[in-house]
Order: sequence, then structure tokens, then C-alpha cells
Amino acid sequence: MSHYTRQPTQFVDGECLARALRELFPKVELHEQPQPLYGYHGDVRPEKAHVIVRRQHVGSSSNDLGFVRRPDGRYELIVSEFDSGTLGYNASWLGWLSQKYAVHATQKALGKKFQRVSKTEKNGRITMKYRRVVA
Amino acid sequence: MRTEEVTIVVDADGQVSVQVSGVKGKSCLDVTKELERLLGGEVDRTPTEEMHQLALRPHLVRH
Repeated sequence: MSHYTRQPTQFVDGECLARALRELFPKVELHEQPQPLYGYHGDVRPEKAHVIVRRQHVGSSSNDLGFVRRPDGRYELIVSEFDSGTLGYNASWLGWLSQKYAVHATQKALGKKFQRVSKTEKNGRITMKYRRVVA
Repeated sequence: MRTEEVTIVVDADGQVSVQVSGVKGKSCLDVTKELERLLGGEVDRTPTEEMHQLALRPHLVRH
């Protein structure tokens, strides 16, 4: 049985986090109340999460991967040692996920008041321009 | 009539910088307040006469 480890993040919005994860995983669960995670053998584990990727979508021989919302509003990654070490769902991966999260957060924050006029990517850097005309 | 423009640059590690132009005075804060909240990072501001720039730390808490 692979133990779960925890990694704090600065993600604060479950919807943006789930959208970012959906760029990598075909199905992502978003719950108001934390739900149990399941291990490789289908065994229920004591860890619970609000945002969950079930093990069949993480990889073969994987455990569920989740993010739990802490009392301070920030999400914490819960990932098994196996999936972190073998499949690379570690700090570097969180950096990648942070970029995707930021894109969705930007659209959520500005999309209602501004029109996105461009989105470009160059050398791994994403640039977005939003514009509006006011009286 | 004037045009307000917000440019957001997101680095590969999630570090975000925000540049706002065409927004007068404290209205700049209103434009970016929700974005700052969602990004959950500390903000460095560099206001100039016609342009405001913000830099947000990466989302990842490093140890």
C-alpha cells in the first residue's frame, strides 16, 4: 500500500482547479463536501478531498489523487508516494498545473467585464490580452 | 470613450504578472482585485502615471 503525502498549494478556487486538471485528465470530480479517496486495490483510505481524480484516470496501478480545501481556503494536494515518485505528480507538476490554473482564473476574473482579444504561447510563457471600451 | 487593457503573462511555473493600462487611479485595484484573489498570491505593485503593473508569486508553495 502506497502512503499518501500532502503538498500545500496556493490554489483557492475549486472550479478553476478542476478546469485546469481537466486539461490532463478526462474526468475530474468537484465536491462541496470532501469525499474519500480510494487506493490501488479499491480500498477506501482515510484521506478525503474536494477535487478528485479517480485512480483509473491517473495511471495504471495508481491511487486516487485529490485536493482538499484547508480552513484557510487554500487547497492541498494529496497524492500517493507511488504516483508522485513514479508518475511525476510532484512539485514540478504543480508548477505546470499552476500555469493552467492561472489561465482559467484570469478568464473567470476578467471574462465577464472584458473581452479576451488574444492568447499566445511562446517558449512556455502564455500571454493574454483583455480589452474593454468605457465611456 | 477610452480603452482599458489588461495584459496577463503566465510563466511556465505559474508565476503571473499583470499590466493594466488606460485605467485611471484606484479603478485599477477594482479591475484586478478578483484576479488577485483567485490567484492567491502576494502582489507587488508598480504604479506609474498611466500604467499599473502587478507581479504575483507562483502558486506553488515551495519548501
